[in-house]
Amino acid sequence: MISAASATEPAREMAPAVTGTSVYRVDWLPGTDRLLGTCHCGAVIVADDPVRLWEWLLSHPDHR
Amino acid sequence: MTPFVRDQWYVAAYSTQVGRGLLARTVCGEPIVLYRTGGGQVAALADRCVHRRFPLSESKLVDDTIVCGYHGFTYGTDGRCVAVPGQQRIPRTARVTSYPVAEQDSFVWVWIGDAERAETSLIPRAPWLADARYTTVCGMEPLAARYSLLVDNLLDLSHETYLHGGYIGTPEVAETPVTTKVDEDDHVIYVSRHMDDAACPPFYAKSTGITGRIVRWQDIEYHPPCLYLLHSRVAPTGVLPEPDGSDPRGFHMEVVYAITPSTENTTYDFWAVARDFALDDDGVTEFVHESNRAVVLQDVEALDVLERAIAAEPAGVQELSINIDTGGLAARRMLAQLTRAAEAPPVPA
Repeated sequence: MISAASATEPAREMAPAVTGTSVYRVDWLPGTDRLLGTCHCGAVIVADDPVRLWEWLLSHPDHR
Repeated sequence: MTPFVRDQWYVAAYSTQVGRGLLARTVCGEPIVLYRTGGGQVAALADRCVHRRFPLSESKLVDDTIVCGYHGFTYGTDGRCVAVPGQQRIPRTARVTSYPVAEQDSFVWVWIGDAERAETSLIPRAPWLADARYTTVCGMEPLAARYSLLVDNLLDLSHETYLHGGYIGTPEVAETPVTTKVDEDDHVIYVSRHMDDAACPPFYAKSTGITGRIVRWQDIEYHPPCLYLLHSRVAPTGVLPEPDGSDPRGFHMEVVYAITPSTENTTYDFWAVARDFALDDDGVTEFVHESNRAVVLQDVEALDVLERAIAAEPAGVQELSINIDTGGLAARRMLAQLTRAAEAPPVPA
């Protein structure tokens, strides 16, 4: 096998850091067809349609 | 048709492509001629003479000026006409647009929109492409399709399983759920797919030498409208980064795309792959270049077909979106948001 990166390589974070404070997150729940959406205000929704999920996240009535 | 997003930086060329010749590019519908001055600076001017609209890219570079190949109108790097044929007086309106331009991370970026808003700090970074700790291969393929189709394509990598089998596609890509994050402040979309135990496709098997199954991580960052980054990590199954974040046993490829709309239905597909292993192995370099270009050309062929199909349809035909489209839908929304923001009148100071 070809050698991987040098052990002296600086520490690196593979998953890029998200720096903003207004972040929407959508997790595809493992083993299901469902999506868990989380608004930056903390509100959550479970949906099985990404179009409806985004519509809700962007305009849910109890947005704080 | 997806409108162009103005007031944005776009990649017009690789730095190595801009020299003492005249390079024609059309970015967001605007014909531009690029060249490098004797002092090494890149100039980007509107590619049409104000006189009779002759393309300046079909003209002649004399020192740092372009002499129109039709009647000799002569332009400086700032776009001002400095000579016209047969008369002393140069009309006040004899100038072409000079575009803000910057070189960064091996790319030549041009600003499309209000030049007053051009800030080089807004250019997203792809530092690996000009970093000696990486070996990079790159190319550019013209796409006969609207840029939004390439955005859709790159935000949903499940297509690798079906379109790129034999190169980078394996069943696990389409089977593995993704996590999507949308940063509204910094205008970045993240899509991550982490496969713990996946088949190693030929692209990675031959470049890394891994013979068994792998951990395969795909972490996308899309900085709309132009820059797309895919942080790709592979390692033998069970091999993870160290607790301190170092990853001496992982193989990393930074896959970079610059998605530059040319016309409404053509796109420049700039692609690059920077790797942090086998840095001096020319055989690996050649393999990665040829394989990745083959993958890009598979996308080009598919998206060109798709463009023709969509263009032939009446407006308003409905699509169907499923879970794999979560990131692509977010990208579409953010592109629309950025389009509206650029169209809005400036806020008074």
